[in-house]
Amino acid sequence: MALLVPAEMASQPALTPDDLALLRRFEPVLCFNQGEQFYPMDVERYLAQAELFVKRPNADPEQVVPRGQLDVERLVEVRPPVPGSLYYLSFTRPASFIETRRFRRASTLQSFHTGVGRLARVGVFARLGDLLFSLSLYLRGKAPRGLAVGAALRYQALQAQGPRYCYYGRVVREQGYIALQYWFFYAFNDWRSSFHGVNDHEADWEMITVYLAEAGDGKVQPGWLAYASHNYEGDDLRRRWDDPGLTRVGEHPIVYVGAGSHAAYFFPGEYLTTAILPYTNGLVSAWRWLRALWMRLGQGGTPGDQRVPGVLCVPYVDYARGDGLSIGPGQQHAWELLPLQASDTMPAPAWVDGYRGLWGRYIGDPLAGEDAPTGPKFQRSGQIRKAWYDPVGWCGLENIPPPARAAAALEEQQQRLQDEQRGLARQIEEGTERQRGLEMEYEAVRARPALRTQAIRLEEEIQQGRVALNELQARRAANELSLASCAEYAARLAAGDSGDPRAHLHRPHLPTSAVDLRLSRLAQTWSAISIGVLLLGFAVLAQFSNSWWVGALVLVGLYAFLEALFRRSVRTLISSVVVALALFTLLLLLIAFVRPVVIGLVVLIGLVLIVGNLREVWS
Amino acid sequence: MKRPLGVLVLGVLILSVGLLLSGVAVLVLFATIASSTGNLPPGWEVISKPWQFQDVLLVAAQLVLGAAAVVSGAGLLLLRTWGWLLALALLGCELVIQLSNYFQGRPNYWGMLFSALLVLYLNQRPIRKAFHIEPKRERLAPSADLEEADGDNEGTPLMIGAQDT
Repeated sequence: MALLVPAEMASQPALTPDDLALLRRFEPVLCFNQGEQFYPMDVERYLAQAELFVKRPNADPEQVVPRGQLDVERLVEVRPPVPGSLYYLSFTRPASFIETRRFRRASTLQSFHTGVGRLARVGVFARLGDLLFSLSLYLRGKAPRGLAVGAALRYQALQAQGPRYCYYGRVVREQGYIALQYWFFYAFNDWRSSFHGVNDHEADWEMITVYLAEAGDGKVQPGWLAYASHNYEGDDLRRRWDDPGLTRVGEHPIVYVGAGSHAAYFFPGEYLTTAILPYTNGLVSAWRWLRALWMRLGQGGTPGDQRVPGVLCVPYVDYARGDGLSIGPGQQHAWELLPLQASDTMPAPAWVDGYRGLWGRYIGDPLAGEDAPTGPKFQRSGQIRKAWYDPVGWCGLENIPPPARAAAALEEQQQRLQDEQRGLARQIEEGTERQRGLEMEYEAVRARPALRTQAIRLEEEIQQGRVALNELQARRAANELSLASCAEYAARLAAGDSGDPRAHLHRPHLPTSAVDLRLSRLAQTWSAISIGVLLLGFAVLAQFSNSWWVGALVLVGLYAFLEALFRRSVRTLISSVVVALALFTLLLLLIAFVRPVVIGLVVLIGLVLIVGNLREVWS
Repeated sequence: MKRPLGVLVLGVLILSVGLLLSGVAVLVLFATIASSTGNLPPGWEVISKPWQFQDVLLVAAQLVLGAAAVVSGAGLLLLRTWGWLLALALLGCELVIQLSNYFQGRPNYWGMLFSALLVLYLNQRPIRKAFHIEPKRERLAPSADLEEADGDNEGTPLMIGAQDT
């Protein structure tokens, strides 16, 4: 991977003292979960402990800079590009078995408790998916055992020398907004090994953005917040500043950080995340298509439901309870601001543009979940991240004007509508005149047999004109309604009412509710052992039963019933099973009577066509 | 909410079938007991083989299913959620019996078709709505409101490896 950076790419507007003050004014408070091992740090200390490698195609990794000799200058050194090569860092070596045991016994991980286990929160099929995913890790490659502990030991040794809690600040002015980006760099993501999550990898970059708008009198007004959470994008990432559910310390938004994953959340709690199994995208698409068809047929269900069958998903819980350390204004630890752009006093960090490799180990996972991430600007593909080049569009804010400009944007739209209305009125007037002329001409020629062709042409033209005129009038009427609504909305805006702060949300990611967590210990124990027992049951049936498939069906039915009892979803189970039986019956009937069914369908279509055409003729 | 015509017809049908089934079962039980105790009305006679265990099971099942059908029919007519659920469960039993007959080489195609179509009719959104079986609502913020919680708060599923995580 080349480290050369085009000059135009490297250019970012420099931070002014006002920008730095804004970053300070709205800097967030990060609330971590108990048991968290890694906190936001500076990259310089990380680099001082790391070594740089290059992985060339069809070759073993080669050390470029050994541990202890790496700094930003050596990291961004221009090196000859080799197609297909990949630079990556390695922060630490895996801890030994004894070190790991010692660490786990003494570390703050002892204070972390899962509560209701992740497997108890989902159905039996999702547990089966989990089994498949766990097996896939051995095929895909994973971060070595003990690596998380090795990283924790190294990071904690660094902190012991002098604790620092840093964020990287960036200010972007775009489309009327001032986007304050707060980037957080962590030495390690230990979600899988410490908190039963999806993945482990060295280095982790996370980000939140505060969107400000000029209030007009030189002051700024906070408008929106967007928190990066895994790989989600769009409207559901952001919340309006006046959302009543949000919590703040003065003007400092509170961020609840996922344990190990470091994903950012608006609310404290436990987030159930379902990860779709690798290589099943085709099945997922087919399932969604069938579901959409089912809904179009008017059958029960939730319209727009994007869920996929449990067996294709792996359940994970992101613990963001906020009951651990908190960093930020007025908290146990204060922030150190490190700019990502040049300022009056210091240049931009060279690594932002100058290093496009991975910030931690390259494992070679084809799904990249266990590979380290790239920096805040570049993706693994070398493309610039959307959150970097378009912070406003990244969270779906590009069509939403800043509050101070909302009234003006609405006024402009009203003006456009009024212009359109004037144009429509003119067209309707001209069209009406033309129609009248055509009608007169038609009256004049229709009685003359010699002008029969002319009369037919005129008749068609009149008919087309009538349709066009109707469309114009309908559009004018719709615009009238829009204008009236715009006037009402303008009055509401003038009165300071910006509407529902949650109107933009589709499927926001929310913590699991108290009801979902109300599972008995029996249910939890059952969820822990159910898949194993099911597999043992299948094995016993296969060995000892003559009609094993009947036994397997009974076993699956028993499982489904027990699950439904635990989850208080017997109604859903009964309706699903009965509908499935009905569909199976119809399928059998279709197979038994395929010929009459096809002939019947053809006859039906023929009759519908005949009736439709006759109606047209007779009308 | 107004009762859909189909629900009225189905309710009356299930109620009638239930009354018939349970009526016949009660009659058979009554006649058998009366015959064995010698309390049959004068001029009456019970013509049957001696009862076996399967016969007892059959009459008991008929009685239970008949009573369930009566309750379900009444529930359907009163637009009660439990009536809808019970009707669906009964249709499920009917489908299991039909499918079992089909695989034993004694198919009743009209019965299969009729039961399957009734299930799909009851599963339609407007019918479910009439029985207050609403689709789950999305929560937009954490809430202590226990009634609103639905366990469907996973957000969009995560695609592993789709982007940097």
